[in-house]
Amino acid sequence: MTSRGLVLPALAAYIVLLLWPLAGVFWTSITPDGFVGLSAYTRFLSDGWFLSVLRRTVVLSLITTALTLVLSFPIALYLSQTWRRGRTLVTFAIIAPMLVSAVARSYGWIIILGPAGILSRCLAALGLGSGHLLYTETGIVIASVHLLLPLMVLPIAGSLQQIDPSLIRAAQILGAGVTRILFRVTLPMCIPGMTAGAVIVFCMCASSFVTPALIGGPTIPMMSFVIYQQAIQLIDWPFASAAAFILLAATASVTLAYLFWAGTRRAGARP
Amino acid sequence: MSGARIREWLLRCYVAAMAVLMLLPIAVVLLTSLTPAAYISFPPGGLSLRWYMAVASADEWVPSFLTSLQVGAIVIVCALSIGVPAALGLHAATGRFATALQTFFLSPLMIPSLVIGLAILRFYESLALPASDLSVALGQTMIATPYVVRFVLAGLAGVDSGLTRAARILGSGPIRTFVKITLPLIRHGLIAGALFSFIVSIDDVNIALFLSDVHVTPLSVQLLGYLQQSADPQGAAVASLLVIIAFVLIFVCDRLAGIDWLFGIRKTTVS
Repeated sequence: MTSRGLVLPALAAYIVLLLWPLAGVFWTSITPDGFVGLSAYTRFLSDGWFLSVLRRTVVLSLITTALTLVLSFPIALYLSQTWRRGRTLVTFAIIAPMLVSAVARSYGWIIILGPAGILSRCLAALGLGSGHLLYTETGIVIASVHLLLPLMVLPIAGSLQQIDPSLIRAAQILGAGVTRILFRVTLPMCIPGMTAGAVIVFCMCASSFVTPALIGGPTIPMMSFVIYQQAIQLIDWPFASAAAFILLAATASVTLAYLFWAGTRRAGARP
Repeated sequence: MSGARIREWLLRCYVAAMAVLMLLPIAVVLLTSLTPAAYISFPPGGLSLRWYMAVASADEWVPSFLTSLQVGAIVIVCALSIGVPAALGLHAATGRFATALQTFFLSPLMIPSLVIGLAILRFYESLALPASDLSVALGQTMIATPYVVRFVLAGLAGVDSGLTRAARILGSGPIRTFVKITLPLIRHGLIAGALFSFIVSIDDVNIALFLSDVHVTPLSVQLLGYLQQSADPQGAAVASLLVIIAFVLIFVCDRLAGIDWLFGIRKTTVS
């Protein structure tokens, strides 16, 4: 078939602009002193400060993923029920922010979370102290949840729509209550969507640059900030490359574990 | 049945509250940009367009805006010209290799884009290639192409293969069949791919941050730099422009392709 040859231009572009540059960065990371060695990696992994940045990135991404998962499920349930009247409006409210620049959205959170922001003034008016959440880890999590929520809602809603309505009806006829149906039928059936969403949200959160840079500032750095700082401000290419590959390894291992899991699941589902 | 009523009422309230929260930071930015005051104040306490005037007359914003538009246009052309053939080729092929290739073409979405930016910058440096609209656009093409591939594949999945076969049997050549039959049938996917490429380009910071320089600075990178240093409503005016552009494109996308379809939420469930 000649039409298979149509993938060649894209394949060539991906090799030249993705694989080859990534290979170059990997080579830079393992030749810090002009010869092959792992000193850039050992320097990162033996330095308490860099390790704390890595730990913060993983922990905040895990918290963001968990919060997004819990917050998304009811919204996804609502969107999957096509008979609902306000559905178009809710779809718009959830999807539209996803396509708005992360800089603009983070700026909105700066105004809300800042010292003179709405939230701090509300808290002060309620007598709950005079603190603010800008430049805190809580602030980063709040803005990240807002940024990534659509990426979790969509796969879960897709998964929920795959559920055969007769399954739910069967469970009802057999006498299962609403809670029982939720935990024994609906939730297990949308595990694929939840897992896909969780993987995307974790990877996007761990590698996001704009939100931590604006909400956290330089005092609460995440991995992306370290990579940028080492590359552009300190021009330490081997170290920046090593940090980039440590971040890539963290997100890729999660993704590959997911792909493997999804593959075995699909193979298992086949009769 | 009052238990079900309460649950239904709770779900509606929750979804409505989340929809408002999703739009809140964006609304805050839009309202802040209209303030007549010289500092960020929310609520704005008056309406004026003075900050938009300030943006239009400042030296840094207009060239950035034009750069963003040019880069976005190049990204559309590049992403479509490699993404559409790739999707056609993938659609024609079957088997393990085709599945692997599809995963590969979608993989840039799973790689931290900051790492892609770093890698392409190093690649350009090795070729001594200076920053230009084209060099930034080629980098962003790598994160826009996956969307084109995905949307065109989704469009092709809905094409009845009997139609193209009928055209071939009736004596139409492969190119004529593509232009007259396939192309009109997958136009939703094409339009969505083009608009998404533009949105990805105009929102991108992570790649442009590395590939831009003082002469070639897209709007979002310029805005990020500005927000990290100054806190006057001029930033809000620029952020609002990005919001307005995104909303216009989402509206066009919805009119032409249907936003539910794009994100895999069906309008009607199959019975």
